[in-house]
Amino acid sequence: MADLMTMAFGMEFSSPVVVSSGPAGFGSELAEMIDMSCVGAFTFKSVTREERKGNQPPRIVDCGYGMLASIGLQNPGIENFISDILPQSREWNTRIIVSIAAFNLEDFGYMSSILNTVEDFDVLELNLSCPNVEAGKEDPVTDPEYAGTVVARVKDGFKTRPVTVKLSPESSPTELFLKKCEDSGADGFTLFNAFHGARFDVDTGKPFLKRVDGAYTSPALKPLILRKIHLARQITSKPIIASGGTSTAEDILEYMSSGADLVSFGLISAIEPELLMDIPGHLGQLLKARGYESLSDYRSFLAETTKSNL
Amino acid sequence: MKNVLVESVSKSDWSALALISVRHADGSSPGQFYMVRTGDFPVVPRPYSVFLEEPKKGLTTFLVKERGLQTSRLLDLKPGDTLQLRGPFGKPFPVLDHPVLVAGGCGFAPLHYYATKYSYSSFFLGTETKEELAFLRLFRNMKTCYGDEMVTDLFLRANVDGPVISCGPSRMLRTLSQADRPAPVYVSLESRMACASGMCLGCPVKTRNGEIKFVCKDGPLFDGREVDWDWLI
Ligand SMILES: Cc1cc2nc3c(=O)[nH]c(=O)nc-3n(C[C@H](O)[C@H](O)[C@H](O)COP(=O)(O)OP(=O)(O)OC[C@H]3O[C@@H](n4cnc5c(N)ncnc54)[C@H](O)[C@@H]3O)c2cc1C
Ligand SMILES: Cc1cc2nc3c(=O)[nH]c(=O)nc-3n(C[C@H](O)[C@H](O)[C@H](O)COP(=O)(O)O)c2cc1C
Ligand code: FES
Repeated sequence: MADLMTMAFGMEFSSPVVVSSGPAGFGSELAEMIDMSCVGAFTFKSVTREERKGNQPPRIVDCGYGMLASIGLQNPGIENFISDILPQSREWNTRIIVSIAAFNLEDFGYMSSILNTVEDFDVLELNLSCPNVEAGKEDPVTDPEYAGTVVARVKDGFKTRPVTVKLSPESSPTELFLKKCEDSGADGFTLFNAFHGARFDVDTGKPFLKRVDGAYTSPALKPLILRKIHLARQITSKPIIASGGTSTAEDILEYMSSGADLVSFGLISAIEPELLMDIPGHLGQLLKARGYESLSDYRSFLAETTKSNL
Repeated sequence: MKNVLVESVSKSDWSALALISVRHADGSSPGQFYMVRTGDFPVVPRPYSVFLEEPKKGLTTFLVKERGLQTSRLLDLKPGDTLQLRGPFGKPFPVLDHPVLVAGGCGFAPLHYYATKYSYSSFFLGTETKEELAFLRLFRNMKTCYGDEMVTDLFLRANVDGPVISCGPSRMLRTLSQADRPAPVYVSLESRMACASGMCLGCPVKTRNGEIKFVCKDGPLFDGREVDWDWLI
């Protein structure tokens, strides 16, 4: 099989396939269904400082071409996560990405400083895609300056491993968010979290979701994300983990063509986790069919193409 | 997901309900369900309880009621078509001492499977229409109703003792759980699902002590008295 080893964040990933944060939760169920070493990295569901019980149901609404999810960041809180959940990943034989979310600067600072000395993971992901709904509060989704401030605070306390910043596709202009975060020390980007959507019950006229909006995940979003990653690649040379609309091994090559270094799978990890085990094999076949011995040969080809396009 | 062949499809008058048998038998137990899809659309599969598994024939049967995107496609299936499934998921129903079975509509599916394997004291069934009832009246001595008459009323009027296993719309399950009777009422809950294995945190149930559980992984059967109904519906 073609060698799928991929370099990013200064380390080797056995394959470019990343399980994105959330749809596969905290990994223990996934590890019972698949051999985790078939993915290049697993990202834990975002963790907050305190435990969160999550939103009242319904948390999922179907949309035909995809679904809306409004989970409400249900998680056990950073301390329980570190003591009870993170150590389980030692046996998974894959890179581990820990994702943190917070609604204020202090909590981001607190979590990143305690994670600084915790072992068992390779990359820290900052989920900057949760809007701060409290009126008048600083919001990393709408304010690029504040997004940069969060990154600076995290980098201040967390120095042992790289930090990737996960942005909302609705944080606009993306260029400014990328610049502010990079200037503040971001080591890479996870692009993007989900777009937000809503659905309404035509019988009652009310929204299906208690909080109206939810994260919209759908393979139909692929071209929108590809375009945005292509634009991001013009702005930053830092590693990019693509996220949004992926479902096949072909998608990995297409996201890499648009500028990504690693490619994550969200919805697919939840609804067809077995596919994660097939994707590396398919990817190898796709590379072989194009005459590449390894993924790094393909990436060298892409680098040459990009140069000649300049 | 696994592609399986459709063996047979039988429909009620007016085609509102269908029994769909597929070439697949994986040792499922009553109460368990599969995630089912007919193709690339809708993208997210839906849970369907096992109506019957016949290991010798290598068949699993689902009972489907036309509701929306997925069921309209399921009802169009013909023998020889394929559908995709994953599972079985969920915990099997516990085997109780002669329970009373109470079903509303497609909630009949898991209770039917239970009744083909284990003994029960009585079986109550309510459907939306007369045609659906004619299609589902499969056991002798079933106590049935349709249309405006509620199966909950039928059950409560009958004043029968013993534990209850029930499946149907959430409001029906809430009414049964809140009935003043000494024996427990177990309810098989419905919820939207994505992963069916407790990962995505999409199908929560809050228990009275504040704990969050999941329909797919910890259920689908819960003790109705332990469910925080105000949080759920
Ligand atoms: C454990 C479990 C077991 C189950 N077992 C069975 C079973 O054995 N048999 C069975 O038939 N079902 C079963 N279900 C339910 C099943 O999973 C599906 O939810 C159901 O079949 C409907 O799917 P659908 O795609 O056809 O409907 P959807 O398209 O998802 O629509 C669902 C409902 O919402 C309505 N709706 C959609 N959009 C709107 C809108 N904008 N405004 C107003 N209304 C709207 C639709 O008309 C429909 O009534 C089970 C569920 C669970 C959790
Ligand atoms: C059920 C669910 C839960 C999610 N939870 C998180 C989360 O906790 N943190 C996060 O950064 N993203 C979360 N996401 C977003 C995904 O990580 C991913 O970015 C998004 O679903 C787009 O990718 P996809 O098209 O492959 O699903 C969640 C998505 C879903 C569907
Ligand atoms: S459907 Fe994912 S947790 Fe139940």
